[in-house]
Amino acid sequence: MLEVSFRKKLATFTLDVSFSAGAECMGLLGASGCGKSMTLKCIAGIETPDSGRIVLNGRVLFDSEKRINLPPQQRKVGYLFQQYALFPTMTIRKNLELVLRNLPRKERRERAAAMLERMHLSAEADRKPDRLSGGQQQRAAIGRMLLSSPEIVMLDEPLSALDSFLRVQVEKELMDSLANFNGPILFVSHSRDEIYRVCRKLVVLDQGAIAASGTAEELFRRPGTLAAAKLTGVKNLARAVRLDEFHLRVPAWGIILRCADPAPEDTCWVGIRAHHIRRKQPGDTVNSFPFRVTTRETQPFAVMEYLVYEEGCEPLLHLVSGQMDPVFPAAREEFAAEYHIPPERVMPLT
Amino acid sequence: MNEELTFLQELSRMEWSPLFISLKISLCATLFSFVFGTAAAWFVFHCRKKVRAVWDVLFTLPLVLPPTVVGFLLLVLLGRNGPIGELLARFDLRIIFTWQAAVAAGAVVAFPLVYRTVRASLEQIDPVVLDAGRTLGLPERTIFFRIMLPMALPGCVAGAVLGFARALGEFGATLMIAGNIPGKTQTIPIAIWSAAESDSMFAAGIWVGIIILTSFAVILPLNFWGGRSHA
Repeated sequence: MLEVSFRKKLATFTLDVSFSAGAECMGLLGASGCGKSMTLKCIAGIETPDSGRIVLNGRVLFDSEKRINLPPQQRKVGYLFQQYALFPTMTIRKNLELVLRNLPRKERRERAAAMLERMHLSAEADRKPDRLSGGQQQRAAIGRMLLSSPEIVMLDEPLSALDSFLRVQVEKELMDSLANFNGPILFVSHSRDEIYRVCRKLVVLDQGAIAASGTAEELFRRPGTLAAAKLTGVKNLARAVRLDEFHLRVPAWGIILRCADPAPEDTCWVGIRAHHIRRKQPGDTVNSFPFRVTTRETQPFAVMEYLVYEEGCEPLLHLVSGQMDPVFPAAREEFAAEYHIPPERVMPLT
Repeated sequence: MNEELTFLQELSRMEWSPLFISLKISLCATLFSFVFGTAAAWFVFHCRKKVRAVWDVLFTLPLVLPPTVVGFLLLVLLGRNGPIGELLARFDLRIIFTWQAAVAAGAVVAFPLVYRTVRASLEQIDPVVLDAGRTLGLPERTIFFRIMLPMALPGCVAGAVLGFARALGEFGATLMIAGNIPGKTQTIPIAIWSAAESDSMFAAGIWVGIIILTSFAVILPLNFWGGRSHA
């Protein structure tokens, strides 16, 4: 169990985070430079917060009031760095053995060899890190980290150093290799896809502050804040005026939207995912609008339409994915049609 | 024919002790300057930014000060009434005008070169690698000796070689605190000066040639090695 609550003033904003994580994989989602890595560094003891408290399994790692600040060596925090940070002058085997330097030689060798075996690195054990592929380096770094018997594992953008076509494969290997670890795992990423696949719980960071948190599913369905909506990939975002609990006027789009969830008093934005807009069908009464299609972009497996309500309005993006839906056989030709935005898909945002 | 004979005769009359004295003193001086220079580099590397600049100037001073200033300061420190000299005198040791004094002079002037080269290569190290070591529970000592030094090895070798070359060429401070005692403290640079003073231009020329060749031979491999490790 990790409990974190601290503040640290940075050059352009103040990092102010507060969350807790049990024995599960928790995601920290945010744009680059939002304070994700700094949060991990503060937990690891590489950086020192200005004030606050960090507690891991009942052990106080940092407490500004009690003037406790354990050095990284004593924190038992496993940190997988973005570039893996293997010791470049040593072979992979020596990298692992160095962590066990206090054990007798025989045991040290056996345990390192067993870990190399587990990470499928026995064949590469006597090579130096720069002779290994990105995925192999990552497994070596994970093996080394696990040998230090951490009570928490923190993964800092573990896949961003890899070529895109390798990512899905390495992501699976990464989570497999951590399958036996039963403590909190913090997974930092700017990629919503990665986070959604890997984590059940999620904290969204924006400019050093927590913009939203909760289960991944819930956050992707109801982001709640503008920052969370952006980071979970909502394409259509506009300022909104709350008319009443269930009605929002959107000046930029020129329409009034009905929402199924009650809009909070301080609602000032609205979000709609591009693939939630659909052609009007019989029975769709509310939220149906005649749109003009100004542009149509064909992507490999989808079509993106720009929908405009009337002259001078900003367009809404409409994504038709998969094979062309037989319901709209004329999707490619038509330039004006009735569209429907399901009220349960309208996201009031603060 | 006649000239050829004189050359050999002159050569056979040369006193070779300065060569061995110089090598002995330079090697010892390199050893000391390497240990202290590396330690200083580590110390400054871990210093907080504000004090760092001050220490850096202090450690670089012997490089820019006139050798006579270094010689004077060493004389004051190591002389009979100096703090170190007095301490040594209690054990009946006298260091001024011995070859050990020349080692001290050589070590002091070689020190900044070792310090600066080693520090520069420590600063090249990606700090993330060191942070990784810390989160893995490695104490700072292990991080320095097992990770940082091996990564900075090319810089350490370069520093030691430059320090050796500098110690080999040391003249002013050496003359002031070790004197010019043939067979004891007369190093090659002092032999050159001594020979030139007494008009033995032949011997001076031989020593000049030896010094140039030695420095060349020591520094050239460094360039090849440095080039390879960057590839």
